[in-house]
Amino acid sequence: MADFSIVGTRYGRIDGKDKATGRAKYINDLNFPGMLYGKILRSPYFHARIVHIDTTRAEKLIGVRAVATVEDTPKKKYGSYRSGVKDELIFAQEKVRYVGDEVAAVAAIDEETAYEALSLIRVEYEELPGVFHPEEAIKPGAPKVHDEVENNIVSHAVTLRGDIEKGFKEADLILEDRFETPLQIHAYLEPVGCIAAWDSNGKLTLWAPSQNPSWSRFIYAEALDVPMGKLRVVQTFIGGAFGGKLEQKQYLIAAILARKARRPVKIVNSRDEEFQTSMPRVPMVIYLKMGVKKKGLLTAKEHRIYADNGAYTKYATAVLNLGTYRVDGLYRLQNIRNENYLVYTNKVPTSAFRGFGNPQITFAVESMLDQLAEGIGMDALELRMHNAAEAGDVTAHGFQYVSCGLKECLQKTAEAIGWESKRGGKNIRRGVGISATSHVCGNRSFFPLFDGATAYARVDEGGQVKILTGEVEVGQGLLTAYAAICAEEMGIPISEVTVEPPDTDIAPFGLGTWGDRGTFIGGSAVKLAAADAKKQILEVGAEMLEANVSDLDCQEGKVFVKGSPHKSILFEEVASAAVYRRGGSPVMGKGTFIPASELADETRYGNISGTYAFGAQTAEVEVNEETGEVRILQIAAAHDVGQAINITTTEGQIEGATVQGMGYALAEEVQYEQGVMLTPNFLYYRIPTSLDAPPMKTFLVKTVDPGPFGAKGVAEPAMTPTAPAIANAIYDAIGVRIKDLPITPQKVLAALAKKK
Amino acid sequence: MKAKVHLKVNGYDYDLEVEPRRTLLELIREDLELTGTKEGCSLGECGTCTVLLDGKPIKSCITLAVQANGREVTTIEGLEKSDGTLHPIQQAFIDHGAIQCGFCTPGMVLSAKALLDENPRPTEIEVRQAIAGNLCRCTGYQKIVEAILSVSSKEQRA
Repeated sequence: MADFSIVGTRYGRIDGKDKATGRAKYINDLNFPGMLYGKILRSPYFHARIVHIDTTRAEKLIGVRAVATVEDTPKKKYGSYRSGVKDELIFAQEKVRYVGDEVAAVAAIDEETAYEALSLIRVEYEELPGVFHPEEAIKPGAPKVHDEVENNIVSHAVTLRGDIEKGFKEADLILEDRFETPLQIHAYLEPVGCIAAWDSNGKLTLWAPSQNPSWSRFIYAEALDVPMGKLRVVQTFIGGAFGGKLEQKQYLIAAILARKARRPVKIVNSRDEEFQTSMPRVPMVIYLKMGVKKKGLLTAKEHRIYADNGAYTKYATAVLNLGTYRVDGLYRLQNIRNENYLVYTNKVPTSAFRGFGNPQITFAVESMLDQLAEGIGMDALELRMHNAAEAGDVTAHGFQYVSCGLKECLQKTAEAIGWESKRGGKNIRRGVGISATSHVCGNRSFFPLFDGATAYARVDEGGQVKILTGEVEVGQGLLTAYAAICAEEMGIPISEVTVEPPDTDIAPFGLGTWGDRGTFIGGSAVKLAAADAKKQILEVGAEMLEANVSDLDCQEGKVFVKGSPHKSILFEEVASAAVYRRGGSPVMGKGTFIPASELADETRYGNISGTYAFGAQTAEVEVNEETGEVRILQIAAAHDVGQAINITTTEGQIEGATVQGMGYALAEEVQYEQGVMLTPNFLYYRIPTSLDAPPMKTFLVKTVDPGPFGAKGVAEPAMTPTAPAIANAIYDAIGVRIKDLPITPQKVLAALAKKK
Repeated sequence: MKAKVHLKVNGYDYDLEVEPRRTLLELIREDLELTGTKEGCSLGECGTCTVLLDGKPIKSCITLAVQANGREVTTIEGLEKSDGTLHPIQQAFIDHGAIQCGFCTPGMVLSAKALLDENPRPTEIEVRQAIAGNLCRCTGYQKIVEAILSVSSKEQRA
């Protein structure tokens, strides 16, 4: 493999100085002249009929500029893009369906006045019975969350591959079990917020930390009933997202208030609103059945999932139907039956969160693999190695693995944790566990209009290169990766490249940050754009040096004749000549990358991604049998990332994801009692702190991929294997298997008591 | 009735009149427009609003502005030298990949500074304890701890 000057090394983020000095402006740091503050009145009931809303007293309060209810909106039902379900309005009409449902909003000259105005709105409710668990909600006679939806079923899908009956008939051991996963909240530290402003010609601009500025406009246009061309989204610095900063209803409410008040309106969530109303991970009840032959060959897998959609449909349909079948390609399974029910409850709407359904199903499958291995008397690592996918495989669902470092990841992580010496309860109350994962790098099925990305590399007269992209930095280091890819391709220092968050009026239409697509797809477009810009620069350089363009190259900021490096000219001199010779036109390199993915057919069969990411993790745990506490002694994570663009940020993705996975495994659960949230703050909902986070060893496994310099994604798959690896390690340590996350001390103690 | 407050922020003196219930965070972010200090939860749980009050890290969202009367406040804007040189902790955060989304960074850097000012050669566990009140959802803390330890070992602190 070729050596690179920047790619594959370690370097600081290009936005690092702005972030380290407090200069980076997040949405709540921005204020406009005349700007108003919006606050939302939310339902205190989990299910109730709205009898009457009286806003007159709020409207009369000094300092209030607008009060809005559903009457101020187009009353057009909308839904998240391509969910196929349109079940919500900008404000509740007739009914509220969860604690937090939006009922009304006010815009006032300051926050205090806005809060006071909320307290003056009188809403008369008539309480209704509620449903809080998908297995309860689906029962005949359960209260209906949406009157027109029978049995609260949002969607029901069955996927069949191979011959499931034959698969189970061939098995020597069949296991069946029930697993359950919790409501996990993103807990990004920057609360969601936006500023909305309309111009005189009816154009709306939203300044917002948006993960998908370009196509979020489809939803906003539909809900507000304005043409998409009249919607501009300007992305601000994002203080963490993890799937939680796709479309937001707050932005629509700010837009409604701003239109009514004829002033810019800012809405920023309180932390309580973040817990009550942001769109957390989809909880799932998973019934799993798997078969294995004595010698370790997996013969069949069947799952039936009841997933909790909450009160309205965001991306839970896609999470369930596009997310939970990926695990089937991790091992060479051919006989598969998957059945998915998505069910309404009177709780917070659930949606996308790092891993997108994969952490849920992988927890179940990887737990059961250990159960199967034990049942046939085989080592758990050996069982995985025996069935692991390889490069060149076409999976049961049609995924084509152009590269696959899964086996190497399994071996690396096992070796790093000391598998041989520690596995099998060799140490009292200590154990090790393993789990693998696979993921897409982009997903053609999620956005069927196109797969791919476009970027521009604009070289100005000073030789500065600016990358224009519609892709999104959420903290993962995307801007830095793009700067590095551009600098590497053009042969200039990374300091000469700037990349800024997109403004939809200027940036190419980008699909945004999800599905591990940013580096693989967006980065490929940047590389092509940089190559195009370099070609144009070399053409001008050839004129200046009186040489053949094919004899020229650019390195370290110098354009030179290959073989005669003394015959050179500074990149910036060529750039300024290029601009002046072309009537002031900057050099515009354009790159469009379309991966070799295809739209899946109606049975969800198809190669939906241009490449796939793999990984495996091991955990070593110590369990206190007196208190039930689990301490993670170390985690070793090996991930097939193709070629890392920046070693430091790639490790950072793996470490951060792993600690989120650890929180998912041991502590994190939004708890409700009869529709009322018990955990709406960081005191009751505990995310890992610096004292909880374990020592981590990360390994980057190289494969040859079609991505930019061979890179593929890592951010999502790195959190998927953590929880099952921990659960498997706990079993190895104390012989109890916890099948519902999180694995709290109470559950451990209860399981230990039952075992005795 | 507004209360008179005299305080020093990043070396500059201020005479202000504030509502008695105004928080120090509101004073810093809204009155002084120093937006590097973040508001993440308003309950003193996340640590993004951490500033130094007479050199000690405090959560400015649960500290009243009047409590800072006659005292010295350091925010993230006060760490960079006038020639643009970053504080060694800021530089170490960049070099070690201790920053991702950046929202916890100002508070995290200030907690680290308070630690190293008091204890220039902390152990890893002392570093982890010093930042335990600053939540980070992106990094898993490992690179933050490495960054802070690297400054202590180099003894390059300003």
